[in-house]
Amino acid sequence: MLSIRGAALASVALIGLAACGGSTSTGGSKGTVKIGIDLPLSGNETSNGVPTKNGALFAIKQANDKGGVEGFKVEAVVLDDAVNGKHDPQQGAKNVQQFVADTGVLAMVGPFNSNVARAEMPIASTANLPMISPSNTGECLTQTHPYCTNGEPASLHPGGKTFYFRVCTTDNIQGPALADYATKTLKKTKVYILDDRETYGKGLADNFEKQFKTDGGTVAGHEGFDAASTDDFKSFLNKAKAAGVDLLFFGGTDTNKAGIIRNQMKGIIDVPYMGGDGIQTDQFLKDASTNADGSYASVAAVNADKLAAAKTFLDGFKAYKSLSTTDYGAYTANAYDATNIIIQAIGTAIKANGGNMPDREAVRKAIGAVDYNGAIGHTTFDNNGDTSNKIISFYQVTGGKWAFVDQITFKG
Amino acid sequence: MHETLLVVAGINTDPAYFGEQLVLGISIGAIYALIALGYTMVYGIVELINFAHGDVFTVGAFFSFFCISLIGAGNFSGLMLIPLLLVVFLATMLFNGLLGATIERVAYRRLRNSPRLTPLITAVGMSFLLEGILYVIPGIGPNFKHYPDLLPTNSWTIAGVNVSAKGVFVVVVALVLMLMLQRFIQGTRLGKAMRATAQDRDAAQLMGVDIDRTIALTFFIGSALAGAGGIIYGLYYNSIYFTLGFRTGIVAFTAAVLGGIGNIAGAAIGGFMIGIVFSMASGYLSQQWSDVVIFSVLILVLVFKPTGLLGARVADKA
Repeated sequence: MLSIRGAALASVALIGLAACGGSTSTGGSKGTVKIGIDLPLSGNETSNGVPTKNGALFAIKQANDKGGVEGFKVEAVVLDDAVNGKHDPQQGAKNVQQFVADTGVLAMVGPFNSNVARAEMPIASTANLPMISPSNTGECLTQTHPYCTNGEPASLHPGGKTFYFRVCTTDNIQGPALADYATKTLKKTKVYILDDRETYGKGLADNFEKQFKTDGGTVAGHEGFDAASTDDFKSFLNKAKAAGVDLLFFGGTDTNKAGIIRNQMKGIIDVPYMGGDGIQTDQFLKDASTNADGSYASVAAVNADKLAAAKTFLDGFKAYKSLSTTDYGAYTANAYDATNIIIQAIGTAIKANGGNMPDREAVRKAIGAVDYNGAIGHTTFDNNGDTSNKIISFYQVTGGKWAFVDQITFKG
Repeated sequence: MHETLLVVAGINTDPAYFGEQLVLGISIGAIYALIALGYTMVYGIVELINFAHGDVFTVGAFFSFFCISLIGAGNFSGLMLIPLLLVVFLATMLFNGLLGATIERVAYRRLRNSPRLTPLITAVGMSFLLEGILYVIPGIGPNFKHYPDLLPTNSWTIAGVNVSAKGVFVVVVALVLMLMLQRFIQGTRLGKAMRATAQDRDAAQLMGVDIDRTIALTFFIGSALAGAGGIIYGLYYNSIYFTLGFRTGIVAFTAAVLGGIGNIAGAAIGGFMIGIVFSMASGYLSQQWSDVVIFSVLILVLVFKPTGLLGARVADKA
């Protein structure tokens, strides 16, 4: 069942590991435990997948350098879920089938994209293969919400157990976190909210509104618009101005005119503009044109560079690869922690099994119970498999560019 | 007393706010008026609702978008702004005019004596055709495009009302074009031929008017005005996309009906009125309600006063 590319990649990874783990051949005296890594690694996805993969491989290398885990050598099985240079759910599903078929694979790291996760999760759940994603933020993968479709998250967990975990937080934390940031850090008291009526945008705006009110702020208005036929935001902006707001919030994406709204604010209302990770893009900057400065956005991930705990990791990684964008990315530290959590869980499972090779169920249980301090901070998992490490980072446009300003741990 | 009620109902009673919505409505209305002129002129002369007209407007927006890219948006600054914009306007209006005349030649002329439903369906088809072509042109695609922000962003406060340079530009350009149209129709031989054709096609032909040429000219002028509308729209909102003409076109059509379809002055007045209805609806109700209100106006006019405000006065039809 091995696809040619999969086989090639896996062997490349093996050779790579053999090469860098040469001095640790003594580590694997009792045998080998395998960790699957599924990420989009080719084409346009290279910049997403490769730095993330590097984080995972770095963790595995460090484990082997220390003599492996409980006497077992750790081996990575790396597969690419990109087809024609774009992440592909079907390819992801095939890759997971391959991990499932290999009984030596005890857990996997990945995938990168939420839609790939949707295709992979039912397969992994049925086979009870634990997985930790470094970067999936779609909340419906793990949490039950009225707006989740296709029977999610239950339909993604046919095995009935919590086997899917993630080390990044979910999109639905962004709205409340932004509200906290607006009221507590920026000291904003009155907001006007606009959303693009889509699942992501309206969800974000609704969550923001709820928390903004809880924090004692006033919501002067909340309107939705149809992005396909609306260009006129001026009357809306007039209304916001008349209401005397000190903040404008937009729930939506750059493709739904986030930047156009910001641009039209010029000359009408001069207050900060705020949105979620859907506007933290270059397209937003282009559309907002000369009025981009003073916009705020959140990203549902830690900015590891700014975290004290990350220093050791960053120093080590610099020695292993480099911190250039081809080697190191936004999710490298996440993948590093995800892989270390798996390694730690495998260790726990081996010990519980009297020093013998454990099964996937034991590893799954150990991951769920993990209490880990790593490069992105302190991680434990709740019953859904979501991380307790709910850190949101904030970015602000200054001088026409998105710049990191702050991150908070959300205690919602 | 009444004011308290309004405040309690969440309605803004500030006269400056009303003024600002009014200014917005007039600016938007100027764009609708320019497009409505095309609907009304074509209807006046061949009694066809040219549903492709909204998409001709979109073509104008994109043609000027590419013109500006070609010249380089950075060059539109300082003293060069006005001459370069003039070039863009002329090129776009010429291109759009030729497009309109071509559409008439290819799609409508042979159907001129067919049952009235036939060219109407053809017009709908032409609308989809144009949208499809725009969609597949490389560099357009499904997402909206950021139209360069060329106009000065100054604004002034007049009697507490915020008036932007952009808004003034839109209204001035639209009024100048309308005035030129008026002079053309009332003051030239070709304009006279258009009026004659609208009044009685056969009689005009007997009097030596070249009907085909006059009708083509009508399409040319209507489409050129829509092209100018496309540029203004882009400059004003900075956002254009391939389905832009669908909603905008139907709103402009509503404006034409409101003013009295076939009546040029009616289209201009209807355009401004619909613009104000739009801005008041979104300012005092919500953006979501504005289309509901606009199309309610369309239905009410069709039911209670199908000839519109000024009426389709045959003698003035052009």
